[in-house]
Amino acid sequence: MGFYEKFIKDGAKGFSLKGGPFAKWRYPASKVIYRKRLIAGPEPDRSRSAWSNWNYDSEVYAFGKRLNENFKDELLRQAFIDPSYAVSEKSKLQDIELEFDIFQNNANLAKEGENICKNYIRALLNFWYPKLPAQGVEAVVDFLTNTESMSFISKNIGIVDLVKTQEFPIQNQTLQSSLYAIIAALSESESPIKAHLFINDFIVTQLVGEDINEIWKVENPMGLLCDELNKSGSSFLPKARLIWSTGANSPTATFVVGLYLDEKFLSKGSGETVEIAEEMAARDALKRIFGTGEDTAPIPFGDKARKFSQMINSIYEKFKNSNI
Amino acid sequence: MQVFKSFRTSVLNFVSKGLNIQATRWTSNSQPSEFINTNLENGLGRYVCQLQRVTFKFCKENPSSRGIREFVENDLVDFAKKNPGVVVYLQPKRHRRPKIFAEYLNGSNQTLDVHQFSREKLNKWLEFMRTRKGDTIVRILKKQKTHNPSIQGVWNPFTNKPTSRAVENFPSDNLNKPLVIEKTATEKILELANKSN
Repeated sequence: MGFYEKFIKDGAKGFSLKGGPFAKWRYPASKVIYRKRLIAGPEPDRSRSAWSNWNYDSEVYAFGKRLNENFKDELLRQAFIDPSYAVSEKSKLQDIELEFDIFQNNANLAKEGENICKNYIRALLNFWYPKLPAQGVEAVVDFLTNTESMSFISKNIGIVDLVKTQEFPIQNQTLQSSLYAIIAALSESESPIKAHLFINDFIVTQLVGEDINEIWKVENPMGLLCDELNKSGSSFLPKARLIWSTGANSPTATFVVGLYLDEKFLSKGSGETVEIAEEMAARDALKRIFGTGEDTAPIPFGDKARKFSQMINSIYEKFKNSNI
Repeated sequence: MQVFKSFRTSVLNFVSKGLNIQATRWTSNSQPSEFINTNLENGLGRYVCQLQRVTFKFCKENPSSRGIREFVENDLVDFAKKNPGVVVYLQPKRHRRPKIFAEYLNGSNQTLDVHQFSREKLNKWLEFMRTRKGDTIVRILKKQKTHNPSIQGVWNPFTNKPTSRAVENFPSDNLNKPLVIEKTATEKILELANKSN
């Protein structure tokens, strides 16, 4: 039995615990505490509001100021209330005979915010990638408004401490809907353009470093390419020709295939076999047609993007009206 | 001297977090390291101060928390006004060490024991906390990061090569000769001589 275990069992019988950081009893004591912690298991997960240094009013005020936005206080508080919390609070307060409005929750705001968010991202993509078809735009919108990525954004902005829900730990769906609700609250408090800039700064920036061609997975690139060429009115179909080949009979073979439209160069792609190279050439042709290749400049953000907000807003208005 | 000895032994008993071996020396390679990164592309869209809240814990009587008490009396309100996005909590704790507890948006914390700190030293530490991202302080592998490393496309052996080379039959007469043939000095002098004549 160690030094400190004896001490715990027998009590402080003439033992002195003086010594400071390098005292003799510290090492066996910390060993004992470590073992006890392993047996007891980890601390239970608690929401931040469980600790004593918490003031909801100041936190809500600071949330708005931190993002450099002027929210209307009632709307912001409403955006944080989950419907499940509203129900549970009503039943709790009924026992004390206090009123609580169930409809003070973020369900409507979340729906509104979702529409604003998705339509704005569609408008933005239409502005920066005008030739990208609707399929591609939808794929990118789904990628950006994914539950996982939205909840990740919520956790890193400070929403996760402020949301009022019945259950703990808070689910990703709840975090996503509260982020949508905040966007709607911002749009109503200030102006839709402010909400657009918010979405641009926090949600669309997740596109940085991502390749649209990786997000939007096309199964049959050659078929899509022929469809696009037919739509644009060209009477020619692309012809595939082998440009380069090395190590044809070796395990590290490389073939470069080029596509030619009416004997003019369209695109090229490389691969381990000729079929793969032809598929990659079709993908390269799609990149050139849609303007999503490496050579197009990445979307600007921040102050550089502010001057385009009016133009994107006009496209957004068209989307909003068409959806309604 | 005794204190120094025990510090040395604790260094030797250090267990590296990244690799499950006992580090025999405190080298930068045996410690964890990471590439530079931001929280949610902060600064690209707008800048958000990553410090979420600060808690000041101090004793109202003990002389060791005199610096933090002076700070709270004089500089705290200015700090709070300048940074409205940071929530400030004060927790007077009798007979306890004075501490600052900072919480960041990505969920990480920093505790700082400010025992016998002066008011100026506290200001500097608070400024450090305010401008941090909140991640663990590790060695940074590279201080630059780009998502678009190649603008014209990565070089491959076929870049800028004429495609006539693909249909070349070897041995070839075209590719036998050197690429650049400069005129020799003799030829140049002969040319000059011919011109003058």
